[in-house]
Amino acid sequence: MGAEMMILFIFTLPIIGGLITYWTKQPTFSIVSIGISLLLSLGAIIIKGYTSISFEWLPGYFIGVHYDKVAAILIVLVLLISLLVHFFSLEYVKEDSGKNRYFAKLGLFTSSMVGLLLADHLILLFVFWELVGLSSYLLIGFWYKKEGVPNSARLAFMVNRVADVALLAGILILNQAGSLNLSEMEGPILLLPSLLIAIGAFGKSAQFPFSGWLTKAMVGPTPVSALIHAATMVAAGVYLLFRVAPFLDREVLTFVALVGTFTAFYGGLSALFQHDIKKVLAYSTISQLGYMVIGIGVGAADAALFHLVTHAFFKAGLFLGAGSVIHYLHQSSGKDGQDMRFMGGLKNKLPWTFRSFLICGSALAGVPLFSGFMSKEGILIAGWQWAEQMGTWAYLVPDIALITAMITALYVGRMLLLVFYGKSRFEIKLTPFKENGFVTAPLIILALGSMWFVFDVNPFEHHSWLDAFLNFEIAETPAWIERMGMLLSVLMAGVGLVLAYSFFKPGSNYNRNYPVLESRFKVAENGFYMVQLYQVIATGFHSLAVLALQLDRKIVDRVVHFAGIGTVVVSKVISLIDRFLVDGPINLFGYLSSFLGRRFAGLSGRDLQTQLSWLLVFVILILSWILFF
Amino acid sequence: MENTLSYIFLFPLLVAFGMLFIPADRWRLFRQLSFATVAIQLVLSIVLMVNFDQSLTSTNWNGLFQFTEQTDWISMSLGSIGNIKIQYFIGVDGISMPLVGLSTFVLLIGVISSWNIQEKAKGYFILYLVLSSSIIGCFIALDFFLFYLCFEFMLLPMFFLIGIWGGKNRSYASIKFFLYTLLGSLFILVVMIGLYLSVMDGDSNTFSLVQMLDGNYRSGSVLDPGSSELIFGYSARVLAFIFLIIGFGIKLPAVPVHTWLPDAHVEAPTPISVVLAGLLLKVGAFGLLRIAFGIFPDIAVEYAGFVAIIGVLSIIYGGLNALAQRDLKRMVAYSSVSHMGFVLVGLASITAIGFSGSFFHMVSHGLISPALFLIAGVIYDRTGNRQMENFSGLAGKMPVYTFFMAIFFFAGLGLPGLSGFVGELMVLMGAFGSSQLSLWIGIIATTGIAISAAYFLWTIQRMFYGKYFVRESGWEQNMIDLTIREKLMLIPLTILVTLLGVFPRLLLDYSNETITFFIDQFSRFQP
Repeated sequence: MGAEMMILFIFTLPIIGGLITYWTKQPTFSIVSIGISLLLSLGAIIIKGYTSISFEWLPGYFIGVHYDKVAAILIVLVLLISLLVHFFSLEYVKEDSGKNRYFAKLGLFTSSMVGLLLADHLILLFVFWELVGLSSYLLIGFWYKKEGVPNSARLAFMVNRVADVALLAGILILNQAGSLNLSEMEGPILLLPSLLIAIGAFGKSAQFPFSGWLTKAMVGPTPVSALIHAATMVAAGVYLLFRVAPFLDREVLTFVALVGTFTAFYGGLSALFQHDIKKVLAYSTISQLGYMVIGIGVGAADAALFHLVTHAFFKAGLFLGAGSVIHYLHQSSGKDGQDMRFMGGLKNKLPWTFRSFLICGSALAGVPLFSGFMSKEGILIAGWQWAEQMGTWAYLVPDIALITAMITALYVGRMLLLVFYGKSRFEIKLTPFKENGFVTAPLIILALGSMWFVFDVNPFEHHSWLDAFLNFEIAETPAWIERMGMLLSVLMAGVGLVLAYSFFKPGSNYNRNYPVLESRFKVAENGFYMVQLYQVIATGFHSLAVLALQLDRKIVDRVVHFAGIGTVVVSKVISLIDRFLVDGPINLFGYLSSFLGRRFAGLSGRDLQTQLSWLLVFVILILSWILFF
Repeated sequence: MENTLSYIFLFPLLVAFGMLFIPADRWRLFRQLSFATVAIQLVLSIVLMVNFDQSLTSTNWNGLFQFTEQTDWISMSLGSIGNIKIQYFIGVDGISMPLVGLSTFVLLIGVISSWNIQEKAKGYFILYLVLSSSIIGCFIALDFFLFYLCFEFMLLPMFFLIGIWGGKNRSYASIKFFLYTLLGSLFILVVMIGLYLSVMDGDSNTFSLVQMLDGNYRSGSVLDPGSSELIFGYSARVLAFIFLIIGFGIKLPAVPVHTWLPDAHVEAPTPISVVLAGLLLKVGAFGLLRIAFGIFPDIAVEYAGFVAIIGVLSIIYGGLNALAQRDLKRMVAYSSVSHMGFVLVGLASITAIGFSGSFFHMVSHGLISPALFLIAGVIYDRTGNRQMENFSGLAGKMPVYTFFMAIFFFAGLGLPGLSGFVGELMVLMGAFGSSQLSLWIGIIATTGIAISAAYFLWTIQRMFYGKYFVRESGWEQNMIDLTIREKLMLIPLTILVTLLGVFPRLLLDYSNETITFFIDQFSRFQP
């Protein structure tokens, strides 16, 4: 099989499997087709089937597909996590009447995401960019009958769409300058298109101020959140930035770094004050995406990509773990419980979930021996090095990133303690539910993927075999920065965990100790009012629309209406003129003649004598007139 | 191939004439005959499309038209003024050929949609066939007089079709439609007379569009580009161009002369909305392309910015209005206004990609908007109501309906993979690449894709998502999913919309050579 055919199958199999599942109602087809797709994607790496394909999409306008090592690795990642999520979903949605629809949508998403990674041409990338947005919309709205779900789905799509306007405008401005194929691109890109493309990427990757949609997206099924809203789609923005970073304007890159820094910080802080376990993970995703964006901004695209890969594993693991918890609560108590204040003590009930959650959580918190530590390390060190060159103010970036690392450890610790330790804070009404293979297998695989040895034998290395495989040039880092960075981040993670333990240790009374602190951080609890901001904007926009409607009804149409009425009035006036001034004299003449005629006609009706006498009178009159005048 | 175009054009007229002699109570026969007629038209136009030479190039307009038929029609001596010579002159180029195909296709959908019309079926189908003839005529006429005749002749059946078979407020809507477009036609009439007096074929004046396109002006005549005559301080050509923008702008419709459209659509029966949105609007766009931009390239370059501003205004203003609507059909009608704005922007860009985009968008909208009106019609057929707040959660109750709704709503909001995206993308590529337009035109036009998403998604949320609910319990028993007939209309539209979205060259290969030549005509006037 040629490389081109392989790529075609890798790309189309997930959606084909999804559609077959939809028709036959057999989820096995989805699983098998994604499995084959995954094997093929591994096969393509083994046979080194890297290739470029170009086709004429519009007359004279060629669009390229480019399968290189970066795409290959990320496709394997997407397919692997998609496969695990499919597997997990078998248990998660098994009682849902819409599950066939669910698998079809997951298939659509997986194919679109693979397409996005394969696209070389920015317009093709935009095509799949929109299609992953669509599948995200459809999956967020999967439980469309539930209160609040339709609104969240729409909000997520709209926020993305607004950012997409910027992205499309940016791409089209570039269209004038040269090839839009990423592999042939030449820099540097001017300020405006650079900025627009960066904004577009911020939308999908939930960076400030577009981040609110990701928290709203959490109303979707939890496995979907794991796949789309944590591991893969939200990373698309980072992926795009990764591809275009070498060509972006310098100042825009600085801007990107600053936005990433703020997002990382605000996401972490907001995560700390959430009660909903999925919200914690959502804000944590925002925060971690912020780290990746920092990596791009400070010129460490390799570190950003590394973090993207490690994050995909541990965050998918965390989300699936949360899914397992939610599923457990749903099955045991018949209620949808996501509030951590009512969890607790699940360590023994869900042993495998707990173990994997612990590992993935440690990776997120940046504990040594886990993957997240290595990749976050890379970004911190690169940020530090960048700050060295940029000047004093730029230390803001690595410093805030370090503080955020501490906050991260804090909220991870809080989440672990609240969910798994202490006493159970909920009532079990139904028979307790046990984890089964569909749940544990994906969790174990993802937990293993969060260990250090997957990426490098040395757990304190902040590069991985990815660098060598992708032929990245590894920048020389001064040894003291490396050592300091290492030390500080271990310290920060430690401080965070210790703080978490002191606050939330088993036996502590959450409701007594914490609400006072929470009330001081309302801003963080509400995610910096991002969603409210969108709602204000949407309301304003809707008022504008209503205004436009009024304008249309009351003015534009009224003008036409009055023009119509005016014409009628004018024609009435003309008709009056016609009747009285033009027609009037004529009628007068007519009337006169008929009057006279009638008078004279009266004469003829009399008897002969009278007629003769009148004749005589007239003859005399005429004669006298002739004679005397 | 000889005379096939004439068959497509005149066959419905012939059948309509024959129908006059069929007793009115045999209403089934009328729809069967109409179906057969339009189906034959469709088959013939497919035959022509297959035989069309996509690679034909030429150095003048005259050589670009294929399947031409030319014969003297009216020749009248007017004493000292000269002779009026009107030709029966038809033919198609790469732009009008696909539009003929689109027309016959949409007309067939319209007949299927009219399947249940019993009331005064005789009159209805006769008028429908007359309408179908005149629409085709507009696209293939190469004689301005013939074009104008067809252009005017569309009004008459449309007036009665809305005025007799329409909704509650039909007489207001039909008269508004009639007067509005008649006013537009008058502007076109003035230009037509001016062109007739200025353009020569050999040594006599002519209505031939081909001669007008090729610019065979009598020197010193009123519309001769070399003429220095001014009317109210403007050259006659500028005035003529503006008149054409107004005339065809009403038909398009462009803001601010669009207000007939929502009323006409809301009152028109579903099949007539389908034809109105799918085809009549395209006649306006086609007129702009062929006549305003084709015959006045020098002025078009100069006034491109003005046209683009109208286009952008239509996109934003139409979109905002659509967002504020609560009647599903009115929302779709305003979305048409917004989409037609893209056609204007593409034309104003005066680039090959922008022109192709406008053309593509015309065809794509010609497929999407009929589907949208059919979708609005489905709910109206079942309940007699279209207010969005009266429905909720239809997705659970009517899944197939929801599926098609989603396809066409997303096509309307420009989702890649469906045809709406390609048209908008190409238009925007043209706008950004244009030497006439400022960057801001492109950027503002791009925001249109967010506005269209806003109103379509909001409608989905209000009507299809959420808990199932209909306002009146009497509607409950009618809320059945799509019938076979409805699927029969929506499935072909879905296939075409998807096919064109993925393989746009299926369509663009037709127009490519024509548009390349067309754009060349502007290069002389561009700085």
